[in-house]
Amino acid sequence: MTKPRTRGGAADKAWSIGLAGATCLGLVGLVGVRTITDTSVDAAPAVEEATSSSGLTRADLDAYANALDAQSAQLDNYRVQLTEAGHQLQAATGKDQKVAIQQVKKRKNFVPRPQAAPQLAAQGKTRSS
Amino acid sequence: MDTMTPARIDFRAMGTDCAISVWSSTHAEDLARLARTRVEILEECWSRFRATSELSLLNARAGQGPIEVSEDLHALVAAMTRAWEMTGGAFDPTVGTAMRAWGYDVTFADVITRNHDAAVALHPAPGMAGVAIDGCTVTLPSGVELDPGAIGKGLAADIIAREIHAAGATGVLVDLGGDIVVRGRPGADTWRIAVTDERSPELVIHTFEITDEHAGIATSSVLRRRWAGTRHHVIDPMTGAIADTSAVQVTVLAPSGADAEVIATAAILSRNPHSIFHQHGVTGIALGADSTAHTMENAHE
Repeated sequence: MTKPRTRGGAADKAWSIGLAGATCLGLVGLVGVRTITDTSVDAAPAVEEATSSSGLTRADLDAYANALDAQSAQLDNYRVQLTEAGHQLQAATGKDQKVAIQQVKKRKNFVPRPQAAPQLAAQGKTRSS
Repeated sequence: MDTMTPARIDFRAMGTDCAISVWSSTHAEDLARLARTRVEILEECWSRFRATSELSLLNARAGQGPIEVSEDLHALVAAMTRAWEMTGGAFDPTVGTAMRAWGYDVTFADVITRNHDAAVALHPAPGMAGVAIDGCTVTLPSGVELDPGAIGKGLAADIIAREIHAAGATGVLVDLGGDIVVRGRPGADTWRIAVTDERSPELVIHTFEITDEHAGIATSSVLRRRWAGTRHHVIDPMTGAIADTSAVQVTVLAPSGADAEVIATAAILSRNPHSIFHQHGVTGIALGADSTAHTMENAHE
């Protein structure tokens, strides 16, 4: 018959102290290893992992974001200059014309006039682009 | 008679020769300079040859859900979708993968230098059916790569001509490698756009005289942009093969540059280009392999 273990015995106390000590040492060891690991990660060069199936890395995405910001700023600048030029043009011509992006007008029929030989020089010449 | 002289600016962009003419009593040079700036902004956004372009980013993220895009890229994808639907898939901007396989995956100058002639496994283009546009986002299915080649210049010319005209120019002509858009009036004159035979660029085979306030003219041809002997840049989206066309050159006059370019592409891919002109209600010229056999149809007459 097995004798049930009772709490408070000298042997149990010694066992508990030993176990607690070992646990503390284990934790200290774990923290130490983690610290060393963290240090080694900091010291080693970062390995870029692809963040997309097509192989784009975080750095690629950041570069794209910067390029898009630059593109957006360029477009804003263009629009400011265009509006300014439009206002100056109006002031010079005295026309009260609204400077804004116009909607495409509803389509009208074209009535081109074919010419066997053009009498006047063309302003443009189409070709395969 | 008003003899206003336009401010004209010539430059290279989008892999081709460009020219912009602005008619205005004042500030014409400023507007022409701004128009060129706009070309460069659109190229930076739409180019498939620039790794940093927004289109390249979108293509690289195909299959990864919705991507927020700029107003300009949204306009391009929306126009591509509309054009694909309007032509029943004959105009297909998803031929990018096939185009790449055939060797046109770099600028054309590099294509000629490399002269890629390796065999190609044929696959139909995936089409635009799976491309979703929602608000300011675009979703590309996996394996879909958008190629703005047969619409980008026409659409860019539309945008630029509209914006410069809206700023106050009395007339604007935007020529991006032969894809031409006109707006307003060239002084007291009418617009005249010449069509030449690609094989004899000095020979004018027709001149469009345009009295409308805005129009687009575009030419699609298998006579230019050729490499490795028989390869050219017109791909049949149904097969992924280099197109075997009945016409060698098609020119279309339409209400916009984007429409002209798209309909010209659909017409050159068709065995009967005139049926395409009639279907879309445009005027077109189809030139057969025999250069004397060009014909014209005015769908409005």
